[in-house]
Amino acid sequence: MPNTIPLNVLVVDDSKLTQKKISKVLEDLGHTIVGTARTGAEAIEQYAVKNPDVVTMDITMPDMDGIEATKGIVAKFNDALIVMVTSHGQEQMVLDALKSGAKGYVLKPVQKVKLQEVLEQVIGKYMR
Amino acid sequence: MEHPQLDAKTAHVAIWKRNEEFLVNELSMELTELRHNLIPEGKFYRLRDFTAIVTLTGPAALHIAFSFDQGFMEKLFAAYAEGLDDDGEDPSLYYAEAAGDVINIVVGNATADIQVPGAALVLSPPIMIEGSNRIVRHRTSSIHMTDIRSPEGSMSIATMHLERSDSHRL
Repeated sequence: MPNTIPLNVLVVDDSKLTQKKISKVLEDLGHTIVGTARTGAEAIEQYAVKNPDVVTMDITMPDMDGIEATKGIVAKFNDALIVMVTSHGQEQMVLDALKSGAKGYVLKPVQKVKLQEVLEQVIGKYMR
Repeated sequence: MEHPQLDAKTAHVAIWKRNEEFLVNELSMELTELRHNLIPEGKFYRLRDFTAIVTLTGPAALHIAFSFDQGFMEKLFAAYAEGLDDDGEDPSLYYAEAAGDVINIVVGNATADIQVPGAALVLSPPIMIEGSNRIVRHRTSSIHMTDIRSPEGSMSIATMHLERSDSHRL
């Protein structure tokens, strides 16, 4: 079920296993993984180097969490398209993520159909 | 204004239910038995071979442990990593990471069921412990425990709560 627009994606998650799982879903949807990062600081660095179309961003990470990393990326690249990928079902956390500059979110465990829906919404609404 | 507190038992019930849902529906694991316990004072919670612990703070301060024996972890890992390319590494190198992923997903998802209006629940990254050991229940704490069995082995969930804040007194 490939997405119509192939995207270059940066996958941010402190778990290597989760990185692999999200990458597999994205590749199955026809996208390319241009980089991975395991910390918020690494994500900010990688964004500047890889210039991805979209970032999938975990919220709960050691050192700098996904919300702070999103703020850091958006401060430098205000058109960055960041989708939070989180297990956190609590509304407040999701709202905080969106306030930090994320354009959408998807809950873990990541379902292929859900991720595709969110990417299509984000791309349709924000990609220039 | 003080927010209402989240009690350990409510959190524990939400977590074991989400865990059961995740193991059965997402990972297609067969579970054969569930047993719930409130560990008495002075008794201990025995850890299994692989343990992940997270802390949930906000309207409560709870430490939550998921502890897996070898057989249960092997089955869980095989199901969780299904479809991923084999990178040639020994799968057991990923067991601690899989335990961390599972506790993060289950407890994170459970926060949707135990929300306290106006108070944010904050979930820490997981800490992993390898090798069995035990946590003794102090008189000022409570430990709600659920033991879960499958044909391949067992796991347990413990929700630990410090009931009074006088434990720091010398």
